[in-house]
Amino acid sequence: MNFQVGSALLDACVLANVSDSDVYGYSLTQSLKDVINISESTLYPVLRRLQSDNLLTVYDSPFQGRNRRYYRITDAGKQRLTDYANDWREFVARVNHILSKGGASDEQRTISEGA
Amino acid sequence: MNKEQFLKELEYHLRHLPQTEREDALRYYDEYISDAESEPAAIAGLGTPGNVAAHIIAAWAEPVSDKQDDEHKSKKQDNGKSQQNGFRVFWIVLLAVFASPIALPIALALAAVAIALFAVLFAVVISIAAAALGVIAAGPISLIVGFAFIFTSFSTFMLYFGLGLVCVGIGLVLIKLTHLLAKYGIGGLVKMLSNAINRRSRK
Repeated sequence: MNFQVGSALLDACVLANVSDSDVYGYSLTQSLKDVINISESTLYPVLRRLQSDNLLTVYDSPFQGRNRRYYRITDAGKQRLTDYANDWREFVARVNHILSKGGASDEQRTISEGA
Repeated sequence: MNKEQFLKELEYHLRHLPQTEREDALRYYDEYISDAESEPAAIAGLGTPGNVAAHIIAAWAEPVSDKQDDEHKSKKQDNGKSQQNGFRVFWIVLLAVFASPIALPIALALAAVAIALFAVLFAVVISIAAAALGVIAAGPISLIVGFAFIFTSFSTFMLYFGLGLVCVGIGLVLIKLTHLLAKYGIGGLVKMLSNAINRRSRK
């Protein structure tokens, strides 16, 4: 993919994923890394930050004789996710608008502007 | 590399982080590797422990200041956070400098400073001790000289006698000062330097 996933978008994706159902580190990494282009070591700092911002909480649950740490979204996290989702829709609408104007009429110009 | 080796190396790379941060990260990656279907594949996917650690340290030191945060946090909180992050960055930079090849010349310079400090302190102690001895030696001589005048001029006798007592007194004070300087000055310096050296060699 040509586009980089910035930290706000990454936060939004993680929050969205956790809000669906509680996740643990490995499962979250697996479900996100194929959708958005991130490496396996990207998520821990993100989770840690969201946790320290009180957007996520953790709890331990026994699994095969050890504890597994699950992440759960907080009310503040849900609020933040709503904000992100709104911002994202607005952003996508604006970008679509620009792309549809340039892309349809003059393909050459879009390429030079995009570069 | 198996899980134990990976975690051990990761722990080494994270050794400058606060303990809670380090333990949290180690626990996460311990679980991450255990949860994977294949341990070798998971470790290969993560990359080197140094690289994983770099992500963790960078995120830990990074000032949290994207727009979204400014909107959601009160200004006071934000200032506190950025100041805290400023300290963190300063700390990381300091650690980076000391861990780099420049560390050797710096260490040599510090060693030179340490030797100079020792020399200065030693010289001060020796000179005070010499002064003490001189004054103490002068004291009795002055007393004896004073007695020589006892019949010719009483006031001269009193002058020398008094001077002699003053000399002995100052001498005793200087001896005590020498003792204290040697004990706490040199002892303290040795302790300070050995602490510094221990801390560096443990890295």
